[in-house]
Amino acid sequence: MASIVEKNITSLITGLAHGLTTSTYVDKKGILQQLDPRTKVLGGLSLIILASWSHSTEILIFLYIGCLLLGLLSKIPLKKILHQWYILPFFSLFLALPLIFSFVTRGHEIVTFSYPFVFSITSEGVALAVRFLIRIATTVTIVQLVLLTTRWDFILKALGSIGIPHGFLFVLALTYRYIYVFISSALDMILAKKSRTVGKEKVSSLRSWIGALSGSLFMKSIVMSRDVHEAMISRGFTGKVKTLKTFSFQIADWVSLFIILIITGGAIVIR
Amino acid sequence: MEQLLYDKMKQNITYEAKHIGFRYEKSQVLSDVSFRIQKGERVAILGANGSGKSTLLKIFDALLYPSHGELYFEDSLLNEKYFENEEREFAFRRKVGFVFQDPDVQLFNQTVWDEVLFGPLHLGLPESEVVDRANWAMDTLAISRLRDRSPFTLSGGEKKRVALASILSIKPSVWLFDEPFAGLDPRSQSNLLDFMINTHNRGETIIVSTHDIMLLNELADRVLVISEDHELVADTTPEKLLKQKDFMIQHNLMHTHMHTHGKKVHSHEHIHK
Repeated sequence: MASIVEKNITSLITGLAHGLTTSTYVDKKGILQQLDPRTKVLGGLSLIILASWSHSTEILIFLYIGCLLLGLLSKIPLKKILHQWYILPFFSLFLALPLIFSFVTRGHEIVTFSYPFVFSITSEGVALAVRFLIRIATTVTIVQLVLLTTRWDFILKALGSIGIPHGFLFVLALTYRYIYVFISSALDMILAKKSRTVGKEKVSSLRSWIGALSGSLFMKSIVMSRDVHEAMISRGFTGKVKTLKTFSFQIADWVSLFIILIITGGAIVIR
Repeated sequence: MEQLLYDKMKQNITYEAKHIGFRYEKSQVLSDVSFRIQKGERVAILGANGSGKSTLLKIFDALLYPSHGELYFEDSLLNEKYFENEEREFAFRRKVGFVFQDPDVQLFNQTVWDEVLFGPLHLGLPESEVVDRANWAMDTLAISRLRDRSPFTLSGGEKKRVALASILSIKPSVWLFDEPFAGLDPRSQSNLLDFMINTHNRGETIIVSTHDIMLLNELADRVLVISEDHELVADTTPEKLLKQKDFMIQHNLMHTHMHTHGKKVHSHEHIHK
């Protein structure tokens, strides 16, 4: 049991580190890689707003499938994009699950339970939960597509050029720089614990260790984030992101923004 | 004549600390330290763990400001007000390069190439010069083959070289090294030492914080010793310091080591590494 939990924590942490720092798909010759980072940031934000605002399951499914296709056209394997379904339930299933029951969403009853009290699963509730999950999946996929096809410094510069305040970008840049150091530290702590553990460990003691790990990581994180911040300041970083690349809008960018405008307008009209 | 000599000496001063101290929350980290560092000097700041060496280096790099006292860099008083002007800050950061103890903290870009050009790019140099400097720094440190690698995937020695290249590309005239040899294997240590000697031969100022006295003779021409009470207790040469064994034991730079040869108990000084 202990090793499964440990294994999951380790794979979650390394997966997060890899996901945040990988540049495998940035240089592929795909459709999204050809676009100006500003187009991707603006387009991505518009589609996220649309997905959050839309109450139509059809529109959400259309957006989700569209994102999957866009991913494939950007040379990102479907497996990589669908990987989110390993993590997604952890964060959203607990929120979505109560929606299916009659005590939260009233409607046509599909199944009725009589223990510990009388309640049912409603078709409206199931539709609501499914819509919620697709909305989350669509939003995560949009963010994932932008992150996987754009260098991080270009994203920051693009956010700056559309008017996001420098203070906010500074915090964002610092968080990104620091996360790998934080993750390495967490992995070291897991390894250090493993080297001092003999035999099978009780779940209760493992639970208390995870609590202690979180506490020490929090304390460490304060010191480490300060160090990373100082290292950035020391080399002239003031919050304004600079890159060698000069952004320029091409025909493909205008066409993409036009398509996004049509999709958004269409969704408003349908509603 | 005296005024002329004084002015001449003033021109050559890189740092002048006047009774500087630093408090962090309730604890005193550095206490009433005064000294001058001339241009082109090689200075080692020696002290036991927690004596305040790293804090002093951070004050030199204006990452921290003294809680009391004054620190001058080439005649300019370093304080928050001075750095309110961005141009002044850039000018300062172009002159002073800080090599952090832990390269993992210092390396935060996606590729080695981005890492090396980060400094010159953010310090406002023209793009063509940024690229030239980055290429030059990578060639000098022999890391061109690592160009597209992520810094996080490199070995300890490679990370150190990338960290050095990321500062070299700024072409600073003052180098601050915080515990530079910590965690390096002998070959990496030797390469780093060669790099530091070459840097000094170019006329650049080198300030190194360390508690390692093994390489002191090769590393510096002058030593400032900070005590465990966070005070400056010696400003001397490595040769003179290494002869003062009692002094070094007193300040936790060396300790007496006891062991037995058969039935005979034997004790001698032992370098604290």
